[in-house]
Amino acid sequence: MDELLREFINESRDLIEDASKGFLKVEQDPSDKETINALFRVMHTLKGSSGIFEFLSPLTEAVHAGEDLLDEVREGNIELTPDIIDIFLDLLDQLNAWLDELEDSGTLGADAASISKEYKERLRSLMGEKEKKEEVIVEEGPSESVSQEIAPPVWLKNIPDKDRQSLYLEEKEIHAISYLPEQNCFFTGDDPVLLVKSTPSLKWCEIFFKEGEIDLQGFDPLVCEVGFHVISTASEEELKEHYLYVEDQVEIFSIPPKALVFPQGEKEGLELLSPFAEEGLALASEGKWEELKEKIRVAKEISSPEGFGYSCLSWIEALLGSSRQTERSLISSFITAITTGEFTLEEETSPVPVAPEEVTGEREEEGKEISQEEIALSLEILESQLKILQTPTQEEIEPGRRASIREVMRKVLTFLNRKDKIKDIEGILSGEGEIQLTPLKEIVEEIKKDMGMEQERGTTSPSPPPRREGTQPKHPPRAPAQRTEIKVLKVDQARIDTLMELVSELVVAKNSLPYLARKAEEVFGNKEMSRDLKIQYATINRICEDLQNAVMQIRMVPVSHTFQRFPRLVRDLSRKLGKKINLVLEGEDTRADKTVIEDLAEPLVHLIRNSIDHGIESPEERTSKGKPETGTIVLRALQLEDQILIEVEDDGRGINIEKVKRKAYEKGLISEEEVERLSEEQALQLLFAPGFSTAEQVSDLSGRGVGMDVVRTMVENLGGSVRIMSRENRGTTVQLALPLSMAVTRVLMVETHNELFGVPIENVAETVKVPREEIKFVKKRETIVLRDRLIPIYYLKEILGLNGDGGETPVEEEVAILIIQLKNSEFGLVVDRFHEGIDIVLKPLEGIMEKYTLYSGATLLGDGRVLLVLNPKEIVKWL
Amino acid sequence: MAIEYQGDTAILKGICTIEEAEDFFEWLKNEPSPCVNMEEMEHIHTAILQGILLVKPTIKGIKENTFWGRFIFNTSN
Repeated sequence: MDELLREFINESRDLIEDASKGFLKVEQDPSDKETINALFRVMHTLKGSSGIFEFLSPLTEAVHAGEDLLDEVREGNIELTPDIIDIFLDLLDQLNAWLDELEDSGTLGADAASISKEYKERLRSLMGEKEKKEEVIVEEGPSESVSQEIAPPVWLKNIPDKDRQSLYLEEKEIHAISYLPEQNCFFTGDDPVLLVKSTPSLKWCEIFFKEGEIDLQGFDPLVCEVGFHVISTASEEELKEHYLYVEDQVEIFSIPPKALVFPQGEKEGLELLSPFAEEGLALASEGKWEELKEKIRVAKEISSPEGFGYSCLSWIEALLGSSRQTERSLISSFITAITTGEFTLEEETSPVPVAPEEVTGEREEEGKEISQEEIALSLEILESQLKILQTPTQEEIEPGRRASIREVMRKVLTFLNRKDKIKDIEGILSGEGEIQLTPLKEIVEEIKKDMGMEQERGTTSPSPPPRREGTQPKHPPRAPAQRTEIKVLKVDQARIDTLMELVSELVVAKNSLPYLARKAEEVFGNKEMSRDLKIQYATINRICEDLQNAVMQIRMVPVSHTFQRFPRLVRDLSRKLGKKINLVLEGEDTRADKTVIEDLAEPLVHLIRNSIDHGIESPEERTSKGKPETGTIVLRALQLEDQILIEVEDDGRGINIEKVKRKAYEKGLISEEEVERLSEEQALQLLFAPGFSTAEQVSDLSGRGVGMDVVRTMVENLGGSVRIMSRENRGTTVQLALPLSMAVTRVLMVETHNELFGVPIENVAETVKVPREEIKFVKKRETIVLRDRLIPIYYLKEILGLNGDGGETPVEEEVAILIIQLKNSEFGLVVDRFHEGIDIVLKPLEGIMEKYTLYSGATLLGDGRVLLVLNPKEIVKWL
Repeated sequence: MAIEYQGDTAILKGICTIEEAEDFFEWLKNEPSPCVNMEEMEHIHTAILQGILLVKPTIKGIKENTFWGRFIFNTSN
């Protein structure tokens, strides 16, 4: 399966699971805005990522309807009642079912479009008045695909006799569909041949080039040049539903079965059949059907399968096979046609397409110029007939074969104005027994010479170029049967996760050795034992680190995994919007932990969309600004120490700070006074506020104000940060900084109130011990001066509310202060004592502890104690 | 990748999506006597299909009683 599709399936499953949890949560608490927002974002992301795959359009459309409805819910226009939630949960189940189908077969089932339609209708029916009105207007418009009972399309003649016969005898309603896809339909996700292939009760179809002649050099495979003619016995409703999304490109005709009843083929040699026709007519009038059948069998043998006569005979045969007595009158019509060469339906009302002119291959106009190419082709046909004659065959079909060869040769000779040779050839071919090949060959050679093609002798086939020579089956070189070494292993990620878990446990277990060493010395007074344990610890520690690194390396994957989807996305979206955009990928080999890379995908989709939709201007606008017509988006990854930096940079219109402020004011996000006061940097931060969007129009792609706040939330959940830089008309750069790996965190242990806490090392700027007298009050706040900077200090035990017993704060000369550095602030945390730094595997808090956001998680220490790890980003909010 | 190129033969496997249409058409256009093997093909996107119909390479492995065998690759000849 396509790598991209596989990723989509995996991601979507997670999203769907999140969504179902979300809906259940909202059902309990309908006022939960946060969850409603999250649900909306899930639908938004599903819509976006499924939109990459054109064949998923039923899924995309259903999700889109869900997104719209949730948007109304978000706006407070609709209340999310349990009934509505039921529909959504049904939809989620359906999405999962579709994903299963995708996983099994790589495509959606044939009924996907109708299922999607059903969901769309259910969801849309719940929407407000506005949508309903719009729909009414749409319905009032001219309805294109009303089935038409007027003249049946001429292309019915392209349907082979056999198919028309069975259609006619099937006695079902017949619909003819003419489907001319738009040239740019691939970009809206259509795959016309898939649509045709899955037509309900498809009986026949043909594909053709809409424009006839296509120039090979100028041909763009991404422009749809083909059209389809389809015959189906499904009902008009079914067909309309099937072709609903392309209804403007489709015409559906209802075909009266009789319109399919006509013979076709070349009328040459009909006179051979006239004795049969006379007898046949007599037999038919006497109702001697069995005898008639026998006669037909014989007559078919002597007629050419492409001929008009043969066609009539096959029709009679088919009609005889039917038990319907009414068909018997038709039989006479066909027999008559054999003698007259014209077929007329007795009670015919609608103009039946008569066998078209061009099928009578006879060249009536003598003396008309025959081109060299035509001559070459004719000679090739003659030669191929000789070859056929040389091929051994079964006795019973030999007469038929001879008859058809005779027929072909006769036609070719007529075409070449060499009727003089027809007699000779017929003479040779009509005899029983062995055929004299040599005289035949001579005749062909003579004609060849006369036609000025003798130079072609020696080459086996004069024209066209021997394309088919390359068709000999070429077996791919087989690998030698020797033992081959497998260099790359594919391992189920679950196994690596298990390995990772085990390493984490080992890290924790190893941390207990120093405690044991201390115990050996302090409790048992065995210094030697203690020393040995410490040495052993050092060794285990080293191996542990190496092991951890090795496992980490396995989990490291290049960002190209995530980046690879973007060229396609950029291309499709830019085509859709009529913009010219060049996507430059840099640093695709940069590696980071699998989880980080996977989780990057979603925020990046939003950022790239934003750049395409809002950043890059239309070609005209760019030209008028003196910029190159083609915009550039750079997607860059680079490693910076233990972080991976991802940048999305565009050279588009940049962000208009004033507009951002005004919008924020209108949305009530900032006060009037703040409009004046906010710095550029601060104004850009507004973009991350939920529900903020500067785009004037809600477009298909983005611009519903979900983009940036989603990005920030997701990146922060990954332990990273987002920065945005922009200059008007020069472009915008969004920078995501993420940890290379999330598996192991290094924390500094600190003690206060006899309790140990961990502080993530990346937040610790430094640890200082300050003489007590150096703590000054500045604006009623205790503050220290550190290298000419004023740093406010806070007491950790106060923040955590640790006031109970045992909190004997040692009054020492010096105060231990942890300097915490965050994105926008710096402050000091007073603790009692600093301890060592350790590597831990952070486990998120669960249950009742979950709401204590001051802690980012916990881990087990070597001696079995639980270490709570502080979350400085939350602490700062409590100051 | 659903399309494998082996010399003058392109082997179409499984579901061939639009992503491969451009590369495939380039190959078709430039290969002097291309051959397309569809023995393991389940579906080809219209974008790929129209390239085949235009260039008319030698086609192998089309199963007769399928949609492709009945309607697409015999009506096009």
